[in-house]
Amino acid sequence: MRTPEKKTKKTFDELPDHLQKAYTKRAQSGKSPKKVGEEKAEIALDWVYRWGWASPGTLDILGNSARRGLAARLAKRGFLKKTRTESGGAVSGVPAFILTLTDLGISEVERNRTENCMPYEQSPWKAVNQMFLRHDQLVQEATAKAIIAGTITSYQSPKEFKEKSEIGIKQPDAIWNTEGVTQAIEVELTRKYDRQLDQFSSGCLDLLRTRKFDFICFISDSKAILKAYQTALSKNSTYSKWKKNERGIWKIEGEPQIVTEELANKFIWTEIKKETKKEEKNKSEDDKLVYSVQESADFDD
Amino acid sequence: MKKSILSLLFLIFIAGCSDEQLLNQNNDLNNQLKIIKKEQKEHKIEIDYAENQASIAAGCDFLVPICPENMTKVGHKAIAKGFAGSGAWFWAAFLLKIFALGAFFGGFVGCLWWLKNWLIKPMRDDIEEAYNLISTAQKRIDKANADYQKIINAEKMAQAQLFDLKTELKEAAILLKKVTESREEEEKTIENLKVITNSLRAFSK
Repeated sequence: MRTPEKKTKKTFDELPDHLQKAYTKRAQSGKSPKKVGEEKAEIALDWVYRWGWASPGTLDILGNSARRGLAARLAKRGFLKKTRTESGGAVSGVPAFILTLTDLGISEVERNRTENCMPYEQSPWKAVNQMFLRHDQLVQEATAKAIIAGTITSYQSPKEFKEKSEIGIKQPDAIWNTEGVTQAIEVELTRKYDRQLDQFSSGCLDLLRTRKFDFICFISDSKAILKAYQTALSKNSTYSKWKKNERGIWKIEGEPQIVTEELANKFIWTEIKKETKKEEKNKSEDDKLVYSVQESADFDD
Repeated sequence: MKKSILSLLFLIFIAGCSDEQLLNQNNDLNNQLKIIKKEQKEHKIEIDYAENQASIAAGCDFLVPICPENMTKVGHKAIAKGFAGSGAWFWAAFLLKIFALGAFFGGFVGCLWWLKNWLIKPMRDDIEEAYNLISTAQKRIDKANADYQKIINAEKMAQAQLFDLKTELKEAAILLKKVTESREEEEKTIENLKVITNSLRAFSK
């Protein structure tokens, strides 16, 4: 019979380097653990307000702490509502739970908010389409990582720019701003064909023409999907404009359009590299360490 | 004259009748003959003289009468009396006249020649020298003008080249600016791409 592994408390010197750095950084900031905890809670709640929803994992990334469980603590305090997803846990990349703001959470965010307030949809399945959970989770998680790593200075969520943009114009999945460079983030996990591909190409090119993005970054975890879009949007590729006729049937309108070199050069293609088994093993080891530190060092609360 | 000769011949014919008488007569006749010959000789001198004078006058009057009156006066009278005036003196007078005329004209021409050499030639030489000076000066002026024109042309060419160079310089400056801008844009794009690539690492799991 297998005996459960006994968790042992570790001293500071026994902790891994990245955890030692995190503790040292917090100590050097001169803020009390309570103040740091409040700031993290504020950031997490504002995130959920701006995106409409978030996963516990995303909020942990935002917490930028060796300790996990920020979402659970905020839910416990009544700021967040936890809802189980349909495919949660069964499909890789889809969070098991999503978090939405409660009335208390909304009022807490709007109380601290310096920028304009937005309408917030409290019903989780109105706020998010379960079909796009993996897609949206990828975007949120990457944005959170980029913000914490400091590789982007600010971002705009779809909820934010949907407020400002015209109806019928394609919207990117996120907008990232970095040192004067504005990039539209477009995560593509499925492939489009024919009319939908033409409309996608047309929408992306219109985005560059109308929104004045410096670049549009296409991200996919499939090399084949990325290659298909890359071919469709390469220099001198053609696409057609589609329009519904009187009977509501889609018809090609006018001559095929050509992708110019200037616009084609503004597309960046990035493949999401999958984790190797060794990396996954290392990550699970780190998780164990995190949880052991969580138990040993009670800095946040 | 003819009568005298005939009477003498008659006396000679009849003198044979008496010697003494005849001799006397002969002597007389001889004397007479001598006288006649003497007269004849005198007349001949006169005739020759008149003929010569007439020849001189005719020679003087031939073609251009230029001899003085005292030289031809006797000759003119002789011609009026019937002398032909065609002796050797005609040609002598004529030639003398011609010579005199030639001498006169020669002298005149000589004088003119002398005058020319004494007065006109130095002036002409001076004028020629002046002309030469002017010609030389003109040539120098022409050369100077040609040189000046060459300089002007060279200056025009230099100005044209300068203009071309300035134009090329402007074009080069514009090109350089474009290249610099393009390079700056390229560097900026590379920098932006680095930033973006760095940010996109957030998508790596």
